[in-house]
Amino acid sequence: MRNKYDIIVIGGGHAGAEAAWAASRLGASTALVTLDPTRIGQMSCNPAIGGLAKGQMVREIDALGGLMGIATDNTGIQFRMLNRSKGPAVWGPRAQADKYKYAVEVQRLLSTCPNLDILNGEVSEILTDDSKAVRGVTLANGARIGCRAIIVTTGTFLRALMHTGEKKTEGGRVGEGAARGLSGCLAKLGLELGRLKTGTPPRIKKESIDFSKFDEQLGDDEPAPFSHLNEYQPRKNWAPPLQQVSCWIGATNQTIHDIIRANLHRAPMYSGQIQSTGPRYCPSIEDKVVRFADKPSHHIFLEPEGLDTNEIYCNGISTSLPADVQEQMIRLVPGLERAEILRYGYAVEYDMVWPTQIRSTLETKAIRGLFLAGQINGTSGYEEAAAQGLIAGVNATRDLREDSSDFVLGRDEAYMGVLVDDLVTKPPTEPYRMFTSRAEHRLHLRNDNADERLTPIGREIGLVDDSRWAQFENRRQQIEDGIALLRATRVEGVTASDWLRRSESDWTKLAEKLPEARAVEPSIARLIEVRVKYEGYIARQDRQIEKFAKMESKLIPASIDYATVVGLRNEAKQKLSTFTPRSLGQALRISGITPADITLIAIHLDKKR
Amino acid sequence: MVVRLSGSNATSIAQHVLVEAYAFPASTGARLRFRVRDLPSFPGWVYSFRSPKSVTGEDVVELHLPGNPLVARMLLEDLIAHGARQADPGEFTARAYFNGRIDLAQAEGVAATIAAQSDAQLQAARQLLGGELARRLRPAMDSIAETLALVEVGIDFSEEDVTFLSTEQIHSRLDSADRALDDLLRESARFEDVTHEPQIVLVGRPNAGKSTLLNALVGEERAVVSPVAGTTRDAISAHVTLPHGVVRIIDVAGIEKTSDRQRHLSATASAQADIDRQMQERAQQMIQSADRVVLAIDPADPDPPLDLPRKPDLIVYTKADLSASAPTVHNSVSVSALTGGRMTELCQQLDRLAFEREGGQALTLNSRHLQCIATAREAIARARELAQSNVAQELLAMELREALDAVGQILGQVTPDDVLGRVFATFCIGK
Repeated sequence: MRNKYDIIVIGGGHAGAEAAWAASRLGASTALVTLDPTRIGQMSCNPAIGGLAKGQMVREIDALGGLMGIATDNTGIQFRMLNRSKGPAVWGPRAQADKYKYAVEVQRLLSTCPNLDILNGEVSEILTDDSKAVRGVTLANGARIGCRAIIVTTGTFLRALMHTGEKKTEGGRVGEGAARGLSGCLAKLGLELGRLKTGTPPRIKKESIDFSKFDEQLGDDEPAPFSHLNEYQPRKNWAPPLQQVSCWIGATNQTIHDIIRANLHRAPMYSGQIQSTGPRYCPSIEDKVVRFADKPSHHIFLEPEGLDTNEIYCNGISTSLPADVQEQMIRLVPGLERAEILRYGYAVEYDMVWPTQIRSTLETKAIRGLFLAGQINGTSGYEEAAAQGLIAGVNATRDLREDSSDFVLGRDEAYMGVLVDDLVTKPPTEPYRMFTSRAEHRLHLRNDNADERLTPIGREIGLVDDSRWAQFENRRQQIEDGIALLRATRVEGVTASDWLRRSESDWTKLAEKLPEARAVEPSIARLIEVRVKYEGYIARQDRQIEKFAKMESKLIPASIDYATVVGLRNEAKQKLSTFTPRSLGQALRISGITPADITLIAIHLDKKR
Repeated sequence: MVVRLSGSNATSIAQHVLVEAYAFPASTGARLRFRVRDLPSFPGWVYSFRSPKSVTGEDVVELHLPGNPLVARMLLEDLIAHGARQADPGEFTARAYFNGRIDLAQAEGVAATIAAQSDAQLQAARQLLGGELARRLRPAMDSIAETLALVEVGIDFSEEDVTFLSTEQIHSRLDSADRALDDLLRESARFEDVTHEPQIVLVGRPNAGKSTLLNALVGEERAVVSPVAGTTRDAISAHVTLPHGVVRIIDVAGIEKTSDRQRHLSATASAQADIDRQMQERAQQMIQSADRVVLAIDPADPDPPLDLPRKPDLIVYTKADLSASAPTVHNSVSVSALTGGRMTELCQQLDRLAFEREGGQALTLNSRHLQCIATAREAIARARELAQSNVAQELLAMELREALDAVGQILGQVTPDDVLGRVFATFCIGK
């Protein structure tokens, strides 16, 4: 172990792994400090990666040169493209992963990183100097390690408290401890902390389930990979390396709901034992029963946690009810009469840092070189965490080289950009999860064009290596050639692209009329078709948002003193001083900031020039 | 006389003009003694409203004083000396809007009130101010937002155990939103109609006394008046304040046939004739485009009636002081501008002509509102087409978003968070 690194990453979850991957591959000497190195890349909650909007984000991480897509492809045991019945803009790839193999794969990928040391330990203190810049960390065993930047990715572990009924256990995950010292240290550094809650369902022993009473849910016949590297293989369909398995769908019933109602006083969320806010989109089963009392039943999804384990994850019934109640309700589910619970569901409360205190680079405004990523910023989900980890890793590295500019993705470039922008302008009142409806550029932020949007950026920041770049350029050239062909050829009196744009047209019909179209490789043809079909709509969507884009490009210097902006309301001055938006567009998205305020700032900036 | 203070220092500044220390409790009025410079103290009422429950959303103090302008001025100076400043025009409204006490449509209502020149405008402004537009528009906006929320459920939560909208349900929702917007348009007057300044053209033979009449209506010397016919060589206009508002009265150059004019003026240079012809043409155009036409007739004029391009709305027999024998015709009034005889009656007639309208209670929309509603309806029409197929849900959502943003221009934006909020409130989401 060295006593000095460029960057220290605290935590080895999905944010920490991605941050360490990016930072070390960009050439920074990096240390990842974790309470337990064997848990790096652990899937604490459901054994799945991706989904709607989240899947697009994994594709973005991959297009930039991140690790999540590769790890998922290598350990996925069921692949499904969600929303396939809808337009390709909202298709979302999702995979069940073998959670044990996934963690091992992440650890393997990290072991290939140059410049990266994995350290076993608990960071108890962040050291800063007089100029409020990070200098290093102190570990619980008293050891000191120097560094120039720190990325904190502590997930649910900050002052973590688990609840199962009346029983409270310190710790961020079953069988693991909590990070106790760090919360106080962050508060001492002047950061304002909040507290959030999330929950997880019971895990059941596979052999004790009567699967005949559940509906089987199969994966796709032709699984689509997350990583573009697997997709670039020419004229050959990618196949997942691991054996593929099924999931199962069942349901709760009124008898179960009655038991839950009768025991509500023992549920920490209802007894007052938990006061922090949980996510509305992922309510506990007790929440569902109370808030949607007229709904006679709720789905239960049985998801295998891996190939070599008998643990089955019961998606849909996350709960913090006491163990005896969990036993009762589980056994009333048709097919689970003899079910054996391997691990009870629990709720976990943890500290977070209000993200108004970070910039779009994920660096804290108060402490130079201190970056936060993942659940500590109030988000939920592996994909949201990984996205932030990558952004923080890149920015922390760029910070070391004084002349580098910030790595900030726009809302029109990536879901990752929407994520960060939402975090820094609207403090989350519940764990933040990505939805496609959060992105005003949804038609453009697609799963199929993630590389087109982001691989050039990944190349620029240095995460895309020569091999990926060459494959990407080849793919891009093929698409461009195809589009040029459509523009230059006429079908039934119009250009082939106009013909294809019609709602009743598709590539197969075009190929009947246009021999040249038949020569285009099917995977490329699909991509061209999507681009052509959406072209007009995206142009219109862009016009709708055009004004916005102008505001986006008007940056507000960090040195601005809002107190001196003539005519600005006090409320606006306070809010703007708190959020320190980077652009006029971002300023307008802060709740309570009006167009009139923006005009005043614009005038102020013009006068200064 | 009322002096109103708004802002975070309202109470501390108001304290300076009160004899005794006062706590300014929320929404309370109290009779207190005022102290202004070295004047003997005097009683008045103090009403205090605390943020956010006040008209501006800030702390507001109202000082109700005896109606002595000098005292009021001295008090105002005292307040300013202690840190207050005079409000800019519309500033209270602007603050109320910025602090979220009123919506944009209401704020526009206030601005229109300040600028209103007629009762009809004031009425329109009051309706805007009362949130009438918001009240009428809200159901349509809610309907669009709800439909969007339901479409978004289908996109973002397609894996969930919820029932999604059928094509018929989407259609019926879009229809009802569109109907609400259409009703609003049909039942609304155009704000331009009421903000439009009525134009009344005054016509008559040369020397019929039009200029004297106009001067009498305006109350100042506006047109050059002389006993020589044809003195008014070009249109002269003036604002005249009538009981229900201000109108523009245009005194066009004397309308007559060339032969008429030649009888009066012997000089007939061709250039002059050309100018005359142009003036005549302009006069004819003004008569055509005016809101109302008033014909002035000198009862003593023996010539046949003027040939006008449109029927006059009112006939005024002038010079009643010279001739008492004006014919009594429908829609006519006989006046003497010189003595003021029956001028009041003329004003009332003009007022009726200018401002009377059917069902004047209609809600009024300005061109910005119309544009927004039109944009919304176009987007809804496109959404209807897309709703035919289940494939284009994300395009349907885009159209609904555009419709919502357009209506949001009037009522304030509905953010993606608001839409998600509706989803979570309506559906049991979450695996």
